[in-house]
Amino acid sequence: MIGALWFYGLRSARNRIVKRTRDVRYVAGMVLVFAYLYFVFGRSMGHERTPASPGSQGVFVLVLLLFLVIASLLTWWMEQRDHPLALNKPQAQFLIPAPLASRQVMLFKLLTTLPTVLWSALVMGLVFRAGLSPRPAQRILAALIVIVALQLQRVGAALARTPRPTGSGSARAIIVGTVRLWLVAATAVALAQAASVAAEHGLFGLDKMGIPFALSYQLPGSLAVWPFRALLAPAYAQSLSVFVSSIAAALLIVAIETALVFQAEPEWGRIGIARTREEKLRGRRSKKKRQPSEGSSLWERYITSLVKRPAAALTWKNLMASKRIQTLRPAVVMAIGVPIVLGATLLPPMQHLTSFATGLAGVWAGLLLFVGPQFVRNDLRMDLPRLRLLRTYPLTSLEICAAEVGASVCLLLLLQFVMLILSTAALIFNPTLPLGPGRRLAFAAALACLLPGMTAIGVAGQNFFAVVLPKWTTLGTKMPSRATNPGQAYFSLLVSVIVFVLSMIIPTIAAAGVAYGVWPLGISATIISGALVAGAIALGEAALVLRWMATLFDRMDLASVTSESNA
Amino acid sequence: MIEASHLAKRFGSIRAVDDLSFRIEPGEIVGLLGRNGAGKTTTLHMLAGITRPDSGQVRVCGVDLLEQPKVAKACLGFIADEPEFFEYLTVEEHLKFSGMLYGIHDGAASADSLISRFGLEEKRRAYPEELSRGMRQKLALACVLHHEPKALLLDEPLTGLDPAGMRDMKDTILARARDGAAILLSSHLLFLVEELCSRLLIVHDGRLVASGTMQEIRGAAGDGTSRELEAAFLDITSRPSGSGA
Repeated sequence: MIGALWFYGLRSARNRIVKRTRDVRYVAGMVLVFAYLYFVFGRSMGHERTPASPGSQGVFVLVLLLFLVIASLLTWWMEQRDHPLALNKPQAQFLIPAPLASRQVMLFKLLTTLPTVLWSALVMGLVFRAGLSPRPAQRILAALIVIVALQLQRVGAALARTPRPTGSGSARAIIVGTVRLWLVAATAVALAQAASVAAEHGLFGLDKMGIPFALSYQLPGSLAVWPFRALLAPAYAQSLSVFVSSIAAALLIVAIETALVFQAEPEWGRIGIARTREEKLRGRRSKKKRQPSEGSSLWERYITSLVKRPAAALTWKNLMASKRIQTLRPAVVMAIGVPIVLGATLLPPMQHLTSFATGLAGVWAGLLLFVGPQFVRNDLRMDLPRLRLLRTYPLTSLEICAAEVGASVCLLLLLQFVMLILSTAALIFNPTLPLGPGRRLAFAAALACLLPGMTAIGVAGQNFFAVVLPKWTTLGTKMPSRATNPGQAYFSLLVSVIVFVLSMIIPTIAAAGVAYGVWPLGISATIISGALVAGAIALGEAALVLRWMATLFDRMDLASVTSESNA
Repeated sequence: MIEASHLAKRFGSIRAVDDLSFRIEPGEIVGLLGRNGAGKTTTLHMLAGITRPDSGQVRVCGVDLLEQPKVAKACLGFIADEPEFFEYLTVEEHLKFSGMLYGIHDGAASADSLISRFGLEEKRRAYPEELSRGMRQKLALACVLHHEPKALLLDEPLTGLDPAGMRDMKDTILARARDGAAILLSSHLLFLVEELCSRLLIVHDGRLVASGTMQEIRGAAGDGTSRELEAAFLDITSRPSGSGA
């Protein structure tokens, strides 16, 4: 039986590679990716770098540690839309009725993610260098360990959430077991640390503040972050001997997580494709207590009344879908929360935080613009698996593409404009900021002119990529996993930024030309007119991308999007 | 009216459909038969505008599907063998959506009437994943009938339905034909084809190897009892393609 699983896994992987290499688009994509990796990172692989300075390394380790702690906490806190162990249709059809232990299927499912994990580790090991281990092989191995650990946590968290018919014993066992082992391991380390302090400073060693070690912040801090530090230690080991000695602890953590995950007896009927979502939807609906159609929400009725053109029906459908997808909630919270933080800096005791708050707002606005199109995906990326259905509609390909892309653009613009308007209101009279209220208003107006075009370019680019290389895109309502697949996330972001930068060249040149001409009218007029021209040209470019996309959409092969194994 | 002339489609080296021509008049129900892999679904996909033919022409309600796809598709309805739905739309919203797509004036009211006509009241606010196979078929049919298509393409419409569901589906198809729709129905269920269809098209290896009324098809293989349709079908599709009736 295990042989059959191996056969399936290896043969599928081989056939997938062979199939992709027959398609010139994927070959070109692979050549580009490997050329990028080789010319940017690969040529320096043979040369060993000098170890990082303790200062720069300290900052980098802190950032990594923070990322790992947040990623780990989010894994447990936020509910995943799709179970990481969910089988695709053919897998469910063949494996569930087969005489296989559920743990064997789980092992198989985890092993099928290995190629993606290896690819991500390779990319991460090559891309991230500063402050980390000087040898690429060490970095790749260390990245592999971290990604595997995150993957296991994700599976563990999902298993713990899967409802069980017979009590919640095994589900809770994962959480309780994790916490218990975590505490035991961390206490052991803390005791070892205390022992070393005791050896140095006496039995009840004092820290710099004169507080006994056992009572100081160091002990709870050590307890909480020890496993993360141990996981990261191989990544920043500067010598081979430190790497070898630190990898044992990291592997121990992975082994503990593996043991805990495999302690659970997954019930595939509840994990498999349809029923989990059904339960999720039922749960969501019972929470919301949806009203009958005649009492539907105001905005729903408003949008429905706007929909007169058939193409707008697709946009309406996608907006309805986005309303039901919970992953947008953090974005909505941030779009409203960040301006509130900005507004709070008007209060005298908070004024010294103004630059921090504006920086935070800037980072979030940038993320919304550059990364937003990757996350808000209620467009062709969601609907391409239903290509057959889309093609039966009485719409041209251009109308379908425009309506689909329009939904994500509308949603992102809504978030951006809510944040822009609220932030402008919060900042306009802040006395600690440079520039007068008029100029600030001019900048806000310029941003308002730029945002539609820039957002349309971003979303259209993402959809274009999905139409050109559907097998490299996560299609359907499933969200690509960023934390456990950082390699793909890196390339997605890279491609987005490159497309974005290239597409903004002409608008920037045109805006500069207009600004030169309007300059005598004053700075505000210059900024606004430049932004207006750049925004209009960017919209025009997005329209061109849509036209091109529609042509390719027409030629898309049904088999390229209906397969169960995309991405 | 549905008209196909000299349709052809290849997938790589495989010839899926080859020089296929036929015409279905308004009010006529025509059965499309063939063994697995004969090219039935590819034919239906080309007629529905899902797959572009390599050559040939498709006319729906007198309009060229390739030249004026919007106009042609506006009077066309297609139900796939495995109907697809949007997982975040309820039953009611699917009908609203289809109403909007086809520009139906009073979409909400006609959605309501379809819901009661197809017995979907209790599932009005259910998501597709909460529906049984039969209910899904009903929803697919309701969505397709929303705009009262003049040409209907059905791919295995009765597969997986219980006897009551089959009866409902058959009644709906017959009613639609009485209203003047041209219907092309692909199925492996020969008893259904005998009951519903006035004419048959049999494809084999992508080519049309036999066409005619039930009697003509039976006559192509021998005498004419209902059992003989099966014999005639097996006989026709076991001959090398190109030597059809």
